[in-house]
Amino acid sequence: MRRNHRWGVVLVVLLLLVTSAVLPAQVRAAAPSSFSSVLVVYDSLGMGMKQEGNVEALKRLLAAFHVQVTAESLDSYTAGSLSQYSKLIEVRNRSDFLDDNNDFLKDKQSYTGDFLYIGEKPGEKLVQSLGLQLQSEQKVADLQIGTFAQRSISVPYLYDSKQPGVKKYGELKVQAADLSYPYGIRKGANAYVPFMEKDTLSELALSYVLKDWLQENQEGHYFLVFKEIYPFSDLGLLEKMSDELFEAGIPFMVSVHPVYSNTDYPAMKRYINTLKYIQSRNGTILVEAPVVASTIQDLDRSLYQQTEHFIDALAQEGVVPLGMGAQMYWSYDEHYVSEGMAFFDSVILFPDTRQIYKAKRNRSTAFASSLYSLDSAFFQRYLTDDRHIASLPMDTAVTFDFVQKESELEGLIEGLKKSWIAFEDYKSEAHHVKTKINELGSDRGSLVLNGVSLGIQASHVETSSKYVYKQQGKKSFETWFTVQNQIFIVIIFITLFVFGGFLIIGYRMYKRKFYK
Amino acid sequence: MPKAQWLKGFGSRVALLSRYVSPSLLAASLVLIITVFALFVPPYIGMADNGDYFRVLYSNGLYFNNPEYDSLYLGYFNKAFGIFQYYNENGATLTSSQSLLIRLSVWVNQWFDKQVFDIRVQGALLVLLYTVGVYLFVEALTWKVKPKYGYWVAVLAVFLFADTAYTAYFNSFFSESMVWIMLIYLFASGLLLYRKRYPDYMMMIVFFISGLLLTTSKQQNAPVGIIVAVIGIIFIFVRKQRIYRTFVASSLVLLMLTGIATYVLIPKEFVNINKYHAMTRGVLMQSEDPEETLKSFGIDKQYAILNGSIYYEPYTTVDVNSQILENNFYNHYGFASILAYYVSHPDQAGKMMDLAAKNAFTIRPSAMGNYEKSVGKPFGAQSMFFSGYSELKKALAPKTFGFIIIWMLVVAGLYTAQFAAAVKAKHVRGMVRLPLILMLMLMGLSGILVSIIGAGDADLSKHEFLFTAAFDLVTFTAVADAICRNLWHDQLAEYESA
Repeated sequence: MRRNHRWGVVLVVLLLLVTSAVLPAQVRAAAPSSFSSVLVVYDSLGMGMKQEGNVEALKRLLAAFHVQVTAESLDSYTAGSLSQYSKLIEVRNRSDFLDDNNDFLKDKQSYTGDFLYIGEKPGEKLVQSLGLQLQSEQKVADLQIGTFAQRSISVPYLYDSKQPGVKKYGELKVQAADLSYPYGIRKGANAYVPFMEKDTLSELALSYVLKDWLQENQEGHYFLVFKEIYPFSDLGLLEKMSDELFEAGIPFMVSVHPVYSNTDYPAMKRYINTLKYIQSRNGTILVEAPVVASTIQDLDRSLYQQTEHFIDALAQEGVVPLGMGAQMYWSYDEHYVSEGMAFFDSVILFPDTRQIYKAKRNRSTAFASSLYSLDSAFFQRYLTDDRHIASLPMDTAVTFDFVQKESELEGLIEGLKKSWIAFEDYKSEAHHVKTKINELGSDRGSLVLNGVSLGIQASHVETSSKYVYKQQGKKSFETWFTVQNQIFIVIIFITLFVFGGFLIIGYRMYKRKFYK
Repeated sequence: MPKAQWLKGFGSRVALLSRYVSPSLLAASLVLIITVFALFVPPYIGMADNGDYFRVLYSNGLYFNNPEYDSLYLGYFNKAFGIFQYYNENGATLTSSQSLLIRLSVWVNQWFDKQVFDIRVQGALLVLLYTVGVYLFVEALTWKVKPKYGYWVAVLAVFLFADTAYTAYFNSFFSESMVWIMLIYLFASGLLLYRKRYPDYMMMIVFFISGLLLTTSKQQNAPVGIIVAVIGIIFIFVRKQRIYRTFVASSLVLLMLTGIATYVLIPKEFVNINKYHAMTRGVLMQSEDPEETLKSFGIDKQYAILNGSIYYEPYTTVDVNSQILENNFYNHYGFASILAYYVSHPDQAGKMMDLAAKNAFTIRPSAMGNYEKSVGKPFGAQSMFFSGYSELKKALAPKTFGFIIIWMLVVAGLYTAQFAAAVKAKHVRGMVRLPLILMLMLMGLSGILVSIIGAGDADLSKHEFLFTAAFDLVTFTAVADAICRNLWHDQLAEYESA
């Protein structure tokens, strides 16, 4: 018996060895480490209302705090799910929602974990634990938090608390009266925020509450990111921008659109050379997610292979991408996560512009490094003082669309030079990208390619347009056919000449015979 | 001797048959029966959506009401669609005669069901229209022809016209159904006018309306209006009355304007798909040096990266409808500049023509299934019921552009003798037949050229439908005229003298 058992162990070990050797190792850079998870339950997405998009904005904020999010609507909530979570965020967008006897409410009664409520009517339990007191309703107020302010926003409810130990976030100054109330209130594991709207200051204000509520200790940094960079962008202008930013000592990142075909063309070489040049000017390269077509097609394309091919094409030329830029919904799609994002442990999640899911799920994938992205115009809109810019609670990418004209570039660079925002170098932190044949990353400010620290010196390179686009097929008997061709041409011409002669002779004979 | 007896018996049977059923009535009836059986008896035959339906659907007050619609694309035919019960905010995205047909079908459908549109209602209307069209066409070829020849033509007509590769389009929102039927009416009315079978005014009205509906059935058919208007000039001289001539001339002018308007009114998105392919799957694909080619269009050479790519790529470098492509790519070329490019690069044009010829003899694109999902057939399965002609054609036709040229020369040559005789006799009506044949050939050729110039090699088998339809009608006419001993001499003069 014992002998049999030993043989069994040997067999299992052998089987494991064979399996690991034979089966292709799926490379996954984003090794799932222990990210904390949060359950977000919402009553409505507020479509067509001012709350529309706030759940999406909340998800994006949570991603920036490296949290794995599960988002459920009240309708799809299954009884007992709450017991698997220790952090719960409830979003209430509908004031007319009836608190029916639903599964979520029942589970919430016995829930004892961390709880954040976003909405107009906090439950009795939360009111008591935070000591919330309704101060006013339907007022126009100015919201201020950190170095940001937004004027004249309509606030449905204003709460305050006098309970000892509560921490208050932001300030809502009622315009008609000289009264101020907090935006967010937190005590220990419970927190309350009366409203949150996408693309308003309340989105940023919530991040302050979230940081403490999630007990995130990391300091937030700003990163400068340029988007809308294609192989057919003005590459000369891109190099010029890199020079200017380099001279001004501003580290920056470019999120570049990938190329999946014709990567051997001179046009691609020029694109890569420019990226290499950017890298030499202290720029960091990110791979932007491809554009997903909404058209119906039956083409068999592997996103995994295409992305890997692009990363390898960059790596081959010494360009080291350090992360991926994608719309937020990608992290909620099994297909995109496993096929497109699997190579990276660092991402920037941009706001969703058009969601085209392949395998949608309600749970997100968290990344070791995940930047919250903020459009530069949005950032400027709420900044009260250009000179004192405190960092946000999370790592934030301030994004610009790459300009198309030189005149626009001058204005952009000038603005950045004058800006008091301290942009960090993305390379100073560790990032990893891994394909089957390449391992790329950064380590304390330097780029690493397959374990070797990379010198980033590069200069402008002119790429020749000479390239054989069409391979000529192998020709046999070429001379033979050419000679044959010429012989036939001569024969045909002689024949035509002879026939012409016969025609003339025949015509003359005909005339002579009948027209005498 | 038994053979002679049999022939005698056959002759008397044919004579008996011809007393009650003319060849045209026989052909039309059989086509009707077979088509009704194919389209309206389970398992119903139709066409799967390739993603184009939404363009015509929403602008005509219909919507996808099948929750599983996404799984049907390309694979399965779907017959039920929802009818909007409230204000439809979607503006007309397509100016097409197809919209007229759909609206008429929806109106008829609402007599029975106000909420769900059954595409078979449209199918039924088209089958009725088709049967009359087939009748007129066969009548134009067999009128006053010996019955023993006429019935052979009728049998061949059934073989062609009842083919489900053509009739499956009736149960679909593709405008090919309209193209096919209107082409038959157009050609038939012209031939009937040549034969003087029905009153000229009536035939000219049919000719004009079918020309109008054909031109506006598909954006790609814009040149059709111009071709019909130019070749139709000969009809002006068929009669001498001023009213007739004014009527025909003004109709032709209107047809020409319709052709121009159809080209101008093409919606933007529609243009982008084809424009993209025209460059990436056409001009660039055949170019020895794409960068140099792009420069000749004033486009940045970096766009060479898009060489060979298709609009439907699931993951792309750039959004095919993005502003960057709009400003720096699409805005730099159009139909005219691509045409000029091909004219100045005949070697490339030749290669594209050969590429086009490979798909020019396929009636039914292989990408789309014919059955409903509930039938249980595999994804994309196509019906083989009564599709002998289309399958034979696909398998046997020599797929080179050289063959197309030879076919055109041979057929035109066959009719030239009769045309020359009519010219010699100064008999204008007798001259009509050859230009009609040429008109169809030119339409078919325009179908190929527009496909290549307008969309490169993408979706060729669907884009070249006009060619395949014109090829079939012309070939069938030539064969029928050969059977009826009608090719060489002008019987018309005999009729008129009689």
